[in-house]
Amino acid sequence: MTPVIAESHDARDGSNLRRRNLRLAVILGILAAAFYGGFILMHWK
Amino acid sequence: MSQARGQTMGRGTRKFPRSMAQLITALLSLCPAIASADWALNMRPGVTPNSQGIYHLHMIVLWICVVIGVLVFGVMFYSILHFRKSRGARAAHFHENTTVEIVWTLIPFVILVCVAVPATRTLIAMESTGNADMTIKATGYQWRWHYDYLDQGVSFFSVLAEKSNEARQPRSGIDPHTVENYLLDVDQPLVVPVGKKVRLLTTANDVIHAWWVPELGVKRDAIPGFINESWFKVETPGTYRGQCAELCGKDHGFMPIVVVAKEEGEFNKWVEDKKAAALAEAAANDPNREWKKEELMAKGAEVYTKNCAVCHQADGKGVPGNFPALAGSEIANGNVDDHIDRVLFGKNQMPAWKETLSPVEIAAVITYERNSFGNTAGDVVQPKKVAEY
Amino acid sequence: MAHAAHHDDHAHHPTGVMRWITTTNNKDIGTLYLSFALLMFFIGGSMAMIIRAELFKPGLQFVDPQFFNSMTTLHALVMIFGAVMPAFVGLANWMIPMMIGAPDMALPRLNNWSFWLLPFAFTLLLSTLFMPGGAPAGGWTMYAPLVLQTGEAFPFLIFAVHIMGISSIMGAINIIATVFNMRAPGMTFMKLPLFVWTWIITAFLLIAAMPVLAGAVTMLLTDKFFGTSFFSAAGGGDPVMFQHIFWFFGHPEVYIMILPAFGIVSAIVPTFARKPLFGYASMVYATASIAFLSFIVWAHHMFTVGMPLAGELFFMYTTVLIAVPTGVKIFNWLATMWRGSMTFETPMLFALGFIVMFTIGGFSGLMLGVTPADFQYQDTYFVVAHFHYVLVTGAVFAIMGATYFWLPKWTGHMYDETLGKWHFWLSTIFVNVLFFPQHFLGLAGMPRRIPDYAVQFADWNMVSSIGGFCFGATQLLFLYVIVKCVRGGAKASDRVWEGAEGLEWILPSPPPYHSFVNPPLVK
Repeated sequence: MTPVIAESHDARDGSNLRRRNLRLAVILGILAAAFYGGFILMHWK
Repeated sequence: MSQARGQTMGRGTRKFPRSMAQLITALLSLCPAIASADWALNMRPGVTPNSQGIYHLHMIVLWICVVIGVLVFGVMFYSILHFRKSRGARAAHFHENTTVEIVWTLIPFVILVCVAVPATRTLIAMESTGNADMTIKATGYQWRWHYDYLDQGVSFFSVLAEKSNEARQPRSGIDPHTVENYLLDVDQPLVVPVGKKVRLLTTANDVIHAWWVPELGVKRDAIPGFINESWFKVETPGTYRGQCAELCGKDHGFMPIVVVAKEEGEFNKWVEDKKAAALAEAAANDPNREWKKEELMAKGAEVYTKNCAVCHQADGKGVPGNFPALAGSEIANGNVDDHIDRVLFGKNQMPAWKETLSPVEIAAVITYERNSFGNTAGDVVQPKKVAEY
Repeated sequence: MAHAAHHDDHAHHPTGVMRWITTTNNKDIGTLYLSFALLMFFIGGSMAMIIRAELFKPGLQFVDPQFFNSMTTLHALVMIFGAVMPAFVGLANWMIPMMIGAPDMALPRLNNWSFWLLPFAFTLLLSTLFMPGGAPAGGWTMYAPLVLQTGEAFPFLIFAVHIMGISSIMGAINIIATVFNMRAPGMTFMKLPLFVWTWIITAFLLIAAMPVLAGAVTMLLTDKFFGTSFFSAAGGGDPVMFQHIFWFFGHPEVYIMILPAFGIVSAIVPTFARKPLFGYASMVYATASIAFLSFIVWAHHMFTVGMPLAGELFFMYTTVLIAVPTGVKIFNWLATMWRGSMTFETPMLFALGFIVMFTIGGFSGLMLGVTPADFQYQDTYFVVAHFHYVLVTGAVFAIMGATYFWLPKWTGHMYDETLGKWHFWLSTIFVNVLFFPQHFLGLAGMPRRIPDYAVQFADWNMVSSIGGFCFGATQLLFLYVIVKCVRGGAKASDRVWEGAEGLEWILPSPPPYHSFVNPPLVK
């Protein structure tokens, strides 16, 4: 089933929402992964 | 029984909510079964400078909270009563005011500073462990305490008293109310002199425990591989009871702490008696002599009940899935060296007993295990063999 | 017209169970999250009933100590990760798109996945109950080295925590992307409802804190199976380091469970006081300050581990400082009620109950923050009373209030107001009978996490257990009210409540499958 968002455009400026959403998700995902790896490496003995 | 309770935990005053306690007790006296109850409400001041410092701090913060609570809830209930639609209240439309926001940010801040000052003073006093008159090391084991008097050369294990231990077994059928100091009694208490500054070192052998006696105002974690410092100075002779305060496994609730504070003369006499008893026991338990099977079996049964039965059960059948059975087990019927190895060094949940039990005790319990519960290995393990293993 | 027909297509979703498995609709997923949370609330609650039954009187009557420890461990994990957190994510799924004028969440497929991970995580966790060696019994805090003694259940525990963490992080990413990218024209940040604000801040806390927990449990896993010694003193590691890392996650986690509750109360109180929220901007700043402080107070959970004096002082000062922004919130709610025109429907009752009892939990929190006093309170029932006041009468009461508040919007039916009020009053009375005496027990010296206790603790424990059983039974009434409302009832109007303000209330009740296909213009 195709989600309604897939074809949505930003109501404010008409830009492609799907790409912007994915980009933000990837940035936040990398941030989370960095916290995870960082904390382990910090305590590596 | 109620007298025993009064002596242990009922000591000290309950100043703050006394009238409330009396009210509740009066109401409950209608119901005779619980009328004899001990409805303690507040912290006890304790018997050391630190515990009393904590108690005063506790009361200061408690009263501050009560006052703020009365004001805040007062305003709230006033609003609820007066600004209700059913009384014809019309809503105003104000929704911000920078001045009041600043005021109710600053006032709590000032109150907090007033709390922080005495708290800092008390904390600094509590952390000053220097100039101690004597040092005791407490080591936590699953599930017992070991005490080492570093200056007097006395050391011993302290475990849950036998009567409590029987009553606390699942579905034991023994009413805990009939056991004196249920779960707060040990076989050998920690004895300290009054009026002396005792430095307490805490550490652990397996997992983290915490040494806590409320009336001494000491709670300090016992952490394997690390040594923590704290101190107390008991001012009144008496018996003070506490418990392990950090979850340490199955029997976390069953490793109490009992401290007996004695006058200095009595304390010194206790030290001499303890030393003499240790010498006598060492002589009786000479690991180098040849032991008879009956001697080992008798001692082994005693050691087993005290140390092993908690997990492997009195009948040696264990708890399926949790603790393996000894009856008919490979270890208890197979090669004796494997058996000695397992008892000395442990495996997973099975503790290493090398440092906790003497070679005589280990030899005795192994002999007992190999010749009980229907096991027929038949051999006798001599203490010498364990000592040299 | 073609455009409208096109959007109608999306309403043709699979039916039956496949609808729920494949759904990418925020409302369906919100319903799934909320139902899952309710199920877990009852599972975790049954465990609490076992705990209270065993503690009803001294002596061991029902369970052995190992199983008792498993119950306290699982009760906490199930309630925190299975009930409270998914309930808030469910509310966010339902309400945030409607509140900001969006058609759906920003990342619908991710949304589906983050929900459907949860049943697997909890199947892993609860399956340990049937394993040889039993379920994890080292406490939800999983302190090394004790937790390393766990038997076959250990890897299941670790992977369950990992999966819950991944689910929460994805949920948080989704909420941030939704709020940042999908607001209706004119909906600026300082116009967002407070529920949305508190959730964005919560989402950032989740992204910063959950990976730390995942890192900590990964280190436990390698210590147990791959010969590392992060937390073993014998190998050069440090068991206390686990506690530092755990609580660096754990304290923000506490606020993850309470900030959305603040948002809910900030929605309910103005509605029933018929007056705008007082101090909107200061509420936003207070929430942000609490979130910031939550990262520099962690060691107050471990004052007794033997830190240097300077460390103990630092963590005492930062901890008591949290009382300032929290106080600001309470005062703002009071000022909202002041000279309002109040009515007391069930959601308002829960919000008022929240304010009173959360404040009581805040007071005991202030007491616990004072280091020397904490030495006496630490690991006693005083702590148990404290965190149940902030989590049950705090977070859970807010969730219940939110359920009554928005249930008419979700279902299109009014719930049974009389039964709702009964639910509130019975819950409030019994939750206090349950938890207030635990303050006394802790002050009298009863440690937490013990299956049996000395006889002088018998009286208050019996009172507490009676309160516990009654509180538990009362929640069946909650279930009944919800089911009854879902199945039918008086028709709810669009606005539902006389004083309701916000975009969600201009939609019909129940709202269309995609809330705002054409975004509203916010003035």
